[in-house]
Amino acid sequence: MDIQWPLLVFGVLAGLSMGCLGFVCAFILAGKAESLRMPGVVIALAAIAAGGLASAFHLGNPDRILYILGNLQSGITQELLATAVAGVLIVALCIALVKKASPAVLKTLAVLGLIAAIALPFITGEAYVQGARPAWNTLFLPIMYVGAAFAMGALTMTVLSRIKHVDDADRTLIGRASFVAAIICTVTVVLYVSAVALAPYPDPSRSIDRLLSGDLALLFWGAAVALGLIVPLALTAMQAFGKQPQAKGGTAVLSRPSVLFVGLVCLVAGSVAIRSIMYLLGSSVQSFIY
Amino acid sequence: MTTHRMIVDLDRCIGCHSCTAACIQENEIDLGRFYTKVINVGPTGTYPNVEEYYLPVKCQHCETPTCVKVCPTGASYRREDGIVLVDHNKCIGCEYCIMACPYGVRSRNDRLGVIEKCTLCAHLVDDGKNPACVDICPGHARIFGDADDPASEVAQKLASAGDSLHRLADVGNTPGEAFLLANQTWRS
Amino acid sequence: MNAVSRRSFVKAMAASGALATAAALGYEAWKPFTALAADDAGSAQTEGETQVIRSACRNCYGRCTINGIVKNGRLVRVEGRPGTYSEGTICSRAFAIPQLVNSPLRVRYPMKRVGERGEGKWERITWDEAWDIIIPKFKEVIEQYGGHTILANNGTGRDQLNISVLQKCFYDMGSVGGFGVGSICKIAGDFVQKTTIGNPCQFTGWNPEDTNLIVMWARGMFSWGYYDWIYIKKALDRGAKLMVVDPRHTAAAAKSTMWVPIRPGSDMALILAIINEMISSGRFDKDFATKWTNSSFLLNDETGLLLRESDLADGGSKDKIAYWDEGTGSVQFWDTVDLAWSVDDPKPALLGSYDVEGIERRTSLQKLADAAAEWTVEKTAETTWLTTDQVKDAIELYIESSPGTCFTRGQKTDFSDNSSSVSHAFTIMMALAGNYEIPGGNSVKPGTSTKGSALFDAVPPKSAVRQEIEANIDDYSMCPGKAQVYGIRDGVYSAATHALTTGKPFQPRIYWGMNCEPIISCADSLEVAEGLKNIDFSVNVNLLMSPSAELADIVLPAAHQNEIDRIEYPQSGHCWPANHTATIRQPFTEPQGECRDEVDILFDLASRLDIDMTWKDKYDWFNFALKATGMTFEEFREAGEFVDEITYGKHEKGLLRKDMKPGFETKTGKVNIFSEELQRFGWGGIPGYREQPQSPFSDPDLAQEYPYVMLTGGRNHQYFHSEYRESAYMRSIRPFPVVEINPETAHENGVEEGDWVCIETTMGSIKQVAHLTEGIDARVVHCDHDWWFPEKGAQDGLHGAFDSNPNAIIDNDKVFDPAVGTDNFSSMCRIHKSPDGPPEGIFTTPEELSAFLSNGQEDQQ
Repeated sequence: MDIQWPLLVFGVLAGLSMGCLGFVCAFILAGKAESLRMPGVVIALAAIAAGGLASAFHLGNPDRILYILGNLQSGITQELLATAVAGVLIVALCIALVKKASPAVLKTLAVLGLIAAIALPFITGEAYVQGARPAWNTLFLPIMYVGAAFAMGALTMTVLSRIKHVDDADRTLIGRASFVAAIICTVTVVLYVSAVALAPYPDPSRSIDRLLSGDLALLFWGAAVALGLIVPLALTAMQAFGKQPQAKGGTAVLSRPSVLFVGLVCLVAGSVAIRSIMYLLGSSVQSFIY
Repeated sequence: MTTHRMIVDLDRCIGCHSCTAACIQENEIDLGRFYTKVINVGPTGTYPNVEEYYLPVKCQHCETPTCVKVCPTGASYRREDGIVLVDHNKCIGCEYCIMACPYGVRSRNDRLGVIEKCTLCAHLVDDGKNPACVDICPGHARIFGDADDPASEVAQKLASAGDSLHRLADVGNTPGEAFLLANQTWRS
Repeated sequence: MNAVSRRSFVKAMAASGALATAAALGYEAWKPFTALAADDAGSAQTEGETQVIRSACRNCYGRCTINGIVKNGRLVRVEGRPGTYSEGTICSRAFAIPQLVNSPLRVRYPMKRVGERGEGKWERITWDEAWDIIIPKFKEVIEQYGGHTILANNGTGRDQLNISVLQKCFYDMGSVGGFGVGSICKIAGDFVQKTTIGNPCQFTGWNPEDTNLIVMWARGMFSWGYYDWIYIKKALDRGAKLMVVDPRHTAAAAKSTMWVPIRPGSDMALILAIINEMISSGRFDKDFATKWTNSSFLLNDETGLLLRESDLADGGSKDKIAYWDEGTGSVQFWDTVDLAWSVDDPKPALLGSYDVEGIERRTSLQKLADAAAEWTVEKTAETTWLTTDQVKDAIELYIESSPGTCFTRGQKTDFSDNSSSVSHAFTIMMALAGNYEIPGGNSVKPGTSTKGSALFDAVPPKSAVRQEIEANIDDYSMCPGKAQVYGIRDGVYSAATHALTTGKPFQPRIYWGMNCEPIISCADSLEVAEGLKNIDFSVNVNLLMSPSAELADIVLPAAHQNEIDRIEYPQSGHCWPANHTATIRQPFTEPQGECRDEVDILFDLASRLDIDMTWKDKYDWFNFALKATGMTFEEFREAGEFVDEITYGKHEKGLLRKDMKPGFETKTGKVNIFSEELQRFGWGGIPGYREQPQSPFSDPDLAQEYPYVMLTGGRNHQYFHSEYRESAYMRSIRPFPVVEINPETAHENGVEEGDWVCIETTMGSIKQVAHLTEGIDARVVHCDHDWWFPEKGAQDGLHGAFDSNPNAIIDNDKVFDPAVGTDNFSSMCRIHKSPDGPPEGIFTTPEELSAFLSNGQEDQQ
């Protein structure tokens, strides 16, 4: 299948959004990193709005968008609902933070938000799980979406933690969490790629050889792996295990927000790459006419 | 009950694409898009010991169609008589049904922004006629009728075909149509 | 599950998902809901009068019966018409009819060239203005140079009336033909059959109804008269077998019981091997051979002909031919005029040699047996690239199934310098096996023979001019001394081409091309184009501005075949019952613009040149042709068809000869195992093998550089020769010319499925798209023939006539068959991936194809 850019952009932005939302909710529940909560929510809102707008470009008749509520069994219907719920929660959190709502309200919203933060990426990925497309027909695909969201959120927070004032303990915690996220993200990618390798109805169009040594090798090794996994792993490892505070030494540059932002960009690029590969491997069981 | 079914006898199909052209004419499909196509399966083997058959494919009007299951607006639906259709007034062109179809037989009409595929010429069937691809087939390969009527050719062929009856891959969609192939090995 | 072959075309053609999304970015995607819904319903047909007209399709030789649906005077669709031999079926080509009738590319008015030949600049003129240019030119040339310098060319012979009327008109003014569609068609073989068995019956005449075995030889696909497959399938389901002899694994081969993948050009070896086995093992129809063939006739080695009474004694009759009578132990005679043996209970010896007046004389069959003896299984296998098992199996299957085997072939065995002998050999093979005039065999005179006539039978008398030319044909022919069996008919294309470019044996002055395309269809397209470019005056009667039309001075608009009246009689390729049925073809709509039936144009031309056409118009001609049926043309139109019954044993019942005597319509009255005509005008009275020039056997040095046999001409389902490249539907289904290559060969040359490939011979290079298939020998490639690109301009190589057309790289300088003038088309080639993709300027996406669609206004200018 050709890369469905509007959907891909939606998926990545929704992932970024939910990652940020998830971390903000976690901060609220753990009582940490107060200064990062508002920026996190704003980024989450912007990302999900942009993502939603992008996805509308995919439709043949976007004016009929409300018809989407017609079939609750449909992955797209579920996605729309989950996105709407997530959007509402983000806005609610935003208001709650601005209005300095009570801890009880905040905690409730945070719990709901955390659920949404995991659910939406999962639902987005799960919508692709089809018997018709063997390279997509695995739960490791939505799990990979969740892993990516986690990592994107984590790295975004890491960047923010270098811009905003955050105390050292929180910063270290965020650093460690981002390393864990990078590892989890890597594991989910490996699991997904393995599932593709073992998928039934083998066909050259979705063969693992395309990634490892074929026409998609550059995209896979160069973008998905090197940029999307290795760079974030290296940078977050520094954050997790490097000396704190890093006032001196060459490694200090690795904690600059600009560098960490580049790391985030690499992570996102890698996520775009692996999703592109997912589409390009997404041939149907028997591609007779299309 | 009426269940409209089409089965194709591959021992009769000679791959002439008359059905492809008849369908384009009947359904006024834009150039370059097809509801049905004929695929060469083979030659399989090594020259000169080869086998080849021709496989006319189109929507299989599945019994538990995944395209219907995934359609967010309910535009994709299955009629009582088994024909799976797309309601142009509800379709938003999200292409989810295209993703859900294991056979790659759906496509988007860019002009209307909706998804289209073989309709089993429901407009002709409802008028008591055969789908456009049936009568013109020079092999008389396409057999259409009411599978619930034991006297129909379709029902009889389905009942008697035995090992010669084949279906395309089933990933939970339960294809409604079938193929007869007795003289060669089925590879689809 | 290998869908790759089709998908690679689809990928090139279909709008990708990404592009579709881009299109949706346009404002149309944001229109309010109601407008879109209304648009959707807007494709419903407007109210108006709808007519259903019954007729026949002429897009190939099939004549499938069709109905045209006409709305408000406009042909909108075609449908199959059931109740006839085609049982309501049609092939994909039929759907191209409304597209061509309404095509924006169609020539609808007389056109006069302004600018150089091939520049593509034309202005519209009136019919009167056109005749005012044409007639004086004709008169001037006839007077100054003679009528034989006028070339008249017709296209494929599906519309037999076109050919008959063209020949009547032009031969009567002195023409000796044109490029000769017969040089690339089965007509050559037909003429040979007239001398060997009396009637053409190798294409049509086969009767699978009760057959044991159907032999399809070099007739790969059911590509004309697809409905033949209905009858073949019935026979197969009944237990009959199908043997397909073809270098390619076609649809026929895919359905066959036995595929015989013979080396291109080596067919004669297998035929002789079959004959050899039949005679050596004595497994042939001795009764038929004795009574109804000239097997027993003795040969006169001095004259090279049959031994006549006049050779043996003074005052002996030259109409009496000698044979050895085993009953009386003496030489006896067969009288070819009285059709009688000289003894009451003749026992002619089939084989052996006999002492007649001191000289050993062989029987005709013995001479054949001696010649065929070298074709052992081993030698045949080596020559044909078959295994010894394949050869043995083919021979045995044929012999065991006979009598009761029917035979049909395609044209490719007529594309050699040995066509006459091959046609002869097929006749012998079927005759010795006893397969004629029996159930399950071949009818010798199929068609509406007893009740009515093929239009061939409506033969008008010849003018004095024509008679003079035929009496002195060598003084006027473009190939003096050659093609005598083929006769004055059509001409020989390589001779015509050379005459145009060299002025030898004379310089043609006028070319009248009528619904034909010699630049595309004849070998050495470039030389043909050069010749046509330099001729004094040229008129093209055509539906489109084809390559040769662009080189004309005047183009006259031809009516489409479904805008005119014809009798569609059985003529080519069909099995029973189609080969005994004539059906009506009548207009769906009136000719558009100022188009006219070519036949009407010819009658008009004749009348302006004072040529007596015998009949005043085509209806007069039809009525004459239908006389034996007792119907007028209008009554035939009403009836829609008439069907003859099949009669077996027509040779015994006197139904094959004009004099109604038992026997065959040949000079001897028998099937000629030894042919005097071929002895005089062909390679010899007994068929022999000829290795074709430019083959791996005949030119191994060439094969070093050009290792693959380039086979061409295999049919496909969307096109017919050079036709339908202007059809959007056909181009969307089969967008590009395809070269079939064995995967091993492709791999060796770095070629992958879907690549544009350069195919090169010593003459040049063409481009086609590769399709890899195990259905062809690794030493052979097959190219689609007759491709041109209407979307390209006249100045772009005459609409891309030389881009992908194999005829552009096949030469026409080789020896041709002396009896019928056919030439060898196979060549040796090499292949490599095209460095710059497809030919420039051709349509490669479906959006571009919409330029071929009608906008509904073309006929209202």
